[in-house]
Amino acid sequence: MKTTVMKAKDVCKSFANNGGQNHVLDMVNLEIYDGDFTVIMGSSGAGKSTLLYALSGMDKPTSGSVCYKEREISHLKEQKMAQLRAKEFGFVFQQAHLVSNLTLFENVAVTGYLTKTRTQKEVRSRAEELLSQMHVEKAADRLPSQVSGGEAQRAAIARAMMNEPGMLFADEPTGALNKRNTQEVLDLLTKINEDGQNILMVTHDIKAAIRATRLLYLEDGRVVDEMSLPVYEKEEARRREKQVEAWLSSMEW
Amino acid sequence: MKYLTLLKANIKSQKGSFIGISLLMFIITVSLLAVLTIWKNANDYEEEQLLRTGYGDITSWIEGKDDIEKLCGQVEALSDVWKVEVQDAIGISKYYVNGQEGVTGILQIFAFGQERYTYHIFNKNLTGIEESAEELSDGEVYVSPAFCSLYDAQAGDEISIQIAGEKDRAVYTIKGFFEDPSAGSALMGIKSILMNTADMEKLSKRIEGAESQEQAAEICLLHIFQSEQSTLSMLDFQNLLGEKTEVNDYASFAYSSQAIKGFMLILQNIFVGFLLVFVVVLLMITMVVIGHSISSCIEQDYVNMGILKAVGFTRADLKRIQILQYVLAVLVGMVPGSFLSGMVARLINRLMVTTTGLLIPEDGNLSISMAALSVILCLLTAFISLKTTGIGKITPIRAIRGGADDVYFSSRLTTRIYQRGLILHLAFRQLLSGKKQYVSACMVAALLVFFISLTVRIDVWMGPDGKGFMNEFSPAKYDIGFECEDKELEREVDALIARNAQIAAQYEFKMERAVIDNYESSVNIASAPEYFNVIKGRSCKYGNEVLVTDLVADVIEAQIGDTVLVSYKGKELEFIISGIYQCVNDMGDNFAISKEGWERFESEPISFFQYYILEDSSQTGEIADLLNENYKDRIDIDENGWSGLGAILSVMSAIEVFMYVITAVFILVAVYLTGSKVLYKEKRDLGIYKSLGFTAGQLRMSFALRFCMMAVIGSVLGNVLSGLFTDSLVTAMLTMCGVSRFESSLNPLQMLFSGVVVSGLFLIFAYLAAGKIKKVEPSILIVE
Repeated sequence: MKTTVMKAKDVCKSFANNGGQNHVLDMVNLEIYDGDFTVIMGSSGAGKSTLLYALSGMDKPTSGSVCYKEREISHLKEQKMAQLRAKEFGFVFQQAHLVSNLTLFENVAVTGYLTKTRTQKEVRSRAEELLSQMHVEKAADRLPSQVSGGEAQRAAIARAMMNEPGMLFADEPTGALNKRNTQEVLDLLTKINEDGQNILMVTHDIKAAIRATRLLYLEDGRVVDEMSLPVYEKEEARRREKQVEAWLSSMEW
Repeated sequence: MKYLTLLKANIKSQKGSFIGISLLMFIITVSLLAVLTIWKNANDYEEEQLLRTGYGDITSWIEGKDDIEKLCGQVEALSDVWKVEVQDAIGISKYYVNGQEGVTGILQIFAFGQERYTYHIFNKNLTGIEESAEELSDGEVYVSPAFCSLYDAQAGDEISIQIAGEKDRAVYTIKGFFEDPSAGSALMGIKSILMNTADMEKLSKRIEGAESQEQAAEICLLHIFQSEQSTLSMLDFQNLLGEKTEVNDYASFAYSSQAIKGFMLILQNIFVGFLLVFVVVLLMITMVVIGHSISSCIEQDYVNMGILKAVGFTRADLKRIQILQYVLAVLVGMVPGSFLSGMVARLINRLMVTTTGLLIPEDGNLSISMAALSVILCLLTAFISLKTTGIGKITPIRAIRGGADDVYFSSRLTTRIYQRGLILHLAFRQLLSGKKQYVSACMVAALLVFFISLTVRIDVWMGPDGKGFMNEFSPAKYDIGFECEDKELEREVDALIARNAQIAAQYEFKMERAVIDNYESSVNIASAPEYFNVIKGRSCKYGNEVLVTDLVADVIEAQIGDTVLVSYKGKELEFIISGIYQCVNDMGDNFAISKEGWERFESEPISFFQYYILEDSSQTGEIADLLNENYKDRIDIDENGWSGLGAILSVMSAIEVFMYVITAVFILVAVYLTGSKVLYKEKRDLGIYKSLGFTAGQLRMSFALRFCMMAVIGSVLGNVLSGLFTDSLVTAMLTMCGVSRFESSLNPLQMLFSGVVVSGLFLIFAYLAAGKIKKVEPSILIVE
């Protein structure tokens, strides 16, 4: 029996549109389990990123509730929400979104400084360790404008990992990368999941989706199906890809 | 039409900048036009009123009437004289208002109701002039509004006059107030009152029968008018009268109408100068803000401008639209500002009527206003045109690629980010990365601190009770003095002072009128000339030396080391100028001689004031009370004070309050304008920080700290500027009232004051301006 880390109940999200309402999420109900690498897929405009932002507290749902470790988080006050983001959540965006005037090292360390759960020395040492794990230690003292997109994205993952988050959210983390960098980033995510990191990722890339242990399919703002997969093995990649493709075809993807 | 469409769209998207710039221009226009209106109207009105009330080009105050006809004959015989008019008056040196002894010098009484000498009578609220003034009944007088500020006197209060040898004083009731263009200012030592002809005659008779004419005497004002054909300058005309007639020998003092105007308007002129400097500082700040706004808008609209170029708009078209947009904002501020300036001028004039004694018209002078606003508009248009040259660099292809993104490079200035004080470190990093964006905040702070620091320096120079200012007005340094003719009594008073206070120095002092190189002026005589305020050369320590002010040196065209002729009561002696000294009395129209030098004119013992410098100046009031208690009416006491000082101090305080309010408004607008542009640029970074768990409060503080840090740098710069330029700038302003050297100094705490005020305001307003951060959600980073 898996432990539920995150639970969404009747989550709706609407946007005003030309005087009317555009319902992007329509009564979404789902649970995210401990240890999973969950991937949300769906066609363009299905509401994947919107769901991710609603679950991660980056955006408030119009109605419904989101619980993280049995704590309602969708209506937290700004201060509490900020604390949750700093201590419990890590976020990787489609673009690296690093602070432009901080070096890669500083981008990673600053999240550690913010929570004050470690000493300055410990923060620096962990930042160095993470950058090394992400293979960007040589670019640590460079500004985001001085590194490649792949290096920046790997630094962004290191930043998201800094405070050992309970949940790592990733919004199309390979969307802006070339093939080689995509592979590297996905390998990193797979590895940290194997090390126990919960991941919730949005993607429309099958090569990224096959890294999941659980796939959710979103259509017209609703979770319409899901699929479980064993832990990713490189040798099984081709077979998993076909399996996921078949599943997606059944969804008319 | 193409311009109009884009102009409307630009104004709509940049409405914050538009409103901010309009607001700054509104404040500048109101301040500038109000100040110019007051200055121009005060000068014109004073000239007009002096002429209307019968003052000649030169007016001499003659004691007694015996030789008036002879004098008039001598003067009228001169071809340069058009006419001479004689106005009878009574001069009083001892008077009381509601029992309180008069603090001014002489009280001159004129008859009200004479056809030639008509006076304006104020209405009850001092807000207008009565069309038909009520006649004065017996025992009633009109006084100038300065009595309100000097004695808190109201209609119905009493003025009593002491005549030598008479037990009972002549008592009069104040019926109302009149506009006195010759001595109505609270700053002038001489004061006038009006009574009816019958009362004047009665008082004259009492004076004729008095023991002595010391406390009250009949006087005549000789109004001398220069002929239109005369080509002489006022100084030459004055010299001619001195040479060819006996007027100087009879006159207690004589002033040209220009000099009277100068005395009357001294306060307006100083403060007009002061406020004009403030307006110039505000204009410079506005230019800094406009400059920053233009650069940011070009950056913001980079893509749009590139697209417009791609569809056929030229560089000149785009530049023209930008210029129109900003000039329109300037005009939108100027137009209502012009209308409101008249109201502000009226308000200031009404508030100052008890100080100036004049109800100066508030009608704006169209030509001066238009000229001033045109100059500002041309200057700003040229500046805007210069700042929009960047539009030329925009190419469609660059714009389509997304414009010129900020690329940060490693800087030697970069500092490490630490856990402790994280927000401060992040603020500092942001500041170093975007230095250019904050330069305008730094410049605004520097300019404002410069001006506040200048004001604080003037304040310190004046001292809390105006003592510093008084020292400039006093011919020599002293705390208290007294005069009495009885030598026995003099010794007694001296002993009383010595028993009650530690005396640092004591000397004799007297003021007279004399002629130096044919120029009639006041002369200060002191037995200890080392206490004169010498600013160049040395004091007149020998009997053949004189000190002159810069003004007198200019008039007689003499320098240190030159020989001059001084004449007094027909005796003419040679003196050498040993130095230049500073004394604001008569707006610097005076010179000084040692007692030893003066004795060459008057060998007979004469009565001098005994002046004391106390070890502890704060005892002055106590000693004055003691002397009043024991010797009231037997001696003349002279505290180093001046009747007009309170008025100057209160006007100065009012101007300071006004200035601080305007400073706060300017900081608010400047911070909002620059802050909103910076926030717009940093929206993405703010979203990232929020997604990492930073709260809006932390980000707002980081934002506010950046402005505060720049304000601190600006404050240091402003203090340096103030240290470098205040003295010369203030000296230039005060030259008109006879101060030829202004020296200021500030202690570290006083220097800190302006910096702390400005930096604090920057911090608060930047924190408030950053309220928009609350609305920035990490969801702006979403790419669907």
